[in-house]
Amino acid sequence: MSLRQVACTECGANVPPEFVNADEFLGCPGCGQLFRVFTFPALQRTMAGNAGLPAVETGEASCFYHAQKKAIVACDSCGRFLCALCDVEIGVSHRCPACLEAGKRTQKLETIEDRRTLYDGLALVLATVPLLLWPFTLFTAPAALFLVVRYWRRPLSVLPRTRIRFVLAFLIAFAQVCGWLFLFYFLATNRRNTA
Amino acid sequence: MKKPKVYRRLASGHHFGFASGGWVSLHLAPDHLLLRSSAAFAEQYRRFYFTDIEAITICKTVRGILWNAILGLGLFFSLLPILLNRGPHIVAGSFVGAFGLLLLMNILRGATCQTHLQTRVQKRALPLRRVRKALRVVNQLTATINEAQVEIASTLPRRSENADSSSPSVGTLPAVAPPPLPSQAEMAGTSWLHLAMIGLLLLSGAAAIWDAWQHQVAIMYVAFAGLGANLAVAIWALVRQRRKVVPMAMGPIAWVSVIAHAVAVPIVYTIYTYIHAIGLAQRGNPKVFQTVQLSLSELRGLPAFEHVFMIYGAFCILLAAAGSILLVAEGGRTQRAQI
Repeated sequence: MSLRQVACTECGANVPPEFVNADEFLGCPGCGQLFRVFTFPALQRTMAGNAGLPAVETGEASCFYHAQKKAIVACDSCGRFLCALCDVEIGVSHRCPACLEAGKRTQKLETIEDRRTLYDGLALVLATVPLLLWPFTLFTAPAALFLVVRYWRRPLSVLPRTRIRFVLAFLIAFAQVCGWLFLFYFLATNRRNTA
Repeated sequence: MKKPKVYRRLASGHHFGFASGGWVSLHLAPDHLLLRSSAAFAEQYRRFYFTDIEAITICKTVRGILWNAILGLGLFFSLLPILLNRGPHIVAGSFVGAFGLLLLMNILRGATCQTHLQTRVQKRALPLRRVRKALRVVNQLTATINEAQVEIASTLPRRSENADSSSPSVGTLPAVAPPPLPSQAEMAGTSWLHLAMIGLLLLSGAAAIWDAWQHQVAIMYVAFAGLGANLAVAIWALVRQRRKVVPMAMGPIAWVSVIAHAVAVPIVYTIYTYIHAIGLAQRGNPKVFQTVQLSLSELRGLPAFEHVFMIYGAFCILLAAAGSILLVAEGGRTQRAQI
């Protein structure tokens, strides 16, 4: 088991020990690039593979998925006992593979989400940008309204974000739709009067 | 139920690319760092848990020097027409101003760098591209990461005793007295600036209403000074709340204040001025067109302006009252939650 090292980001050469946590920028022996390295205890940690311990004694809790393996932790979502093989550690919490999959599918487990679509921004752009070429708003305004209604309850960004874009998009798109209805009504009544 | 604000923004920046261009920002949570990359209407997240972070590397780059050279050249070529003609030149002057400002900003922001974060399975670039800021953020993170890895650190000496003496060493870590993990209350910090914003709103609102009734020049100047100060303080509050977690109620109040002062007030002022200028011109006073930028006193003398002042004063007081109520309500909720 060899300990890991930090490599220079430019040339890939291993950083000499005296460079680690130095108080000033030092030149890489390989390429001369000035850099500073801050290392943490996790760098020196060795990760041995663990295939799960067998249930050595009768009466000990066993893994829900592997009856012959000894349970080491319970799932924080469903409470099932898990062996080292089935335990998925996310930060400080532990999950079983089934809860992990369910959380990913239903977007309930925020800590494993790696992508989100911002429908509020899309709706706002759809409601405002076509105003530059206003005839397009005949199609884009209903589309913006649809997005607002369809995705109102969908979670927004993982970071704090209000629904103000949805509200603005709805108001602007609604005004555009009203404008179009008024225009059609005006044209219809005008034509009737002319006839 | 409103989501608690667990993330605090540490840095952000833009990365260019045909397929992957967009904004990148780094956020601090109680147990991990979040790297957000946003492009168009999608966001991608990468989480680095403190227990997994192995190293952070800051590598100096010459990007800042290159930009200085480019901006310096631009400044030089913009100055040439002015120097050759020996007279003011509006177009060249504008370019001199723009290049000079950008050059000054680039110099003031300091040396450039690339920052990488390394875990067991990946190495990612962080949006920390200035040495000063990168060092500040890394120093801030070092204590937190060491605290999270204190268990790992405690196992290391035993291992090093058992390990072969010929195994490579990666340097010893300094003994750091681990400070406590930043709690939500610590991250929230003081919102004295937001309290000052509320106080200023109340003051300028009261001054505006008083002036609308009493027509005193001194009060009028106080009200106009309050308008400017409100705008400045609200912008400052917005900048602060992007870097520091503030009570949730204060964020929208700062936004409303900035929008109202920066957008609505100048627009109302301009429209009001033009309408009255046109009105006066139609009544046979064309000189008004030459004085569109009416002085504050002249503006104050316009008919029915006290109504504008009255509305502005009422708006300020209502906004301050709303902010105070929300703040008190949030404080009550926090106390109940603590109990």
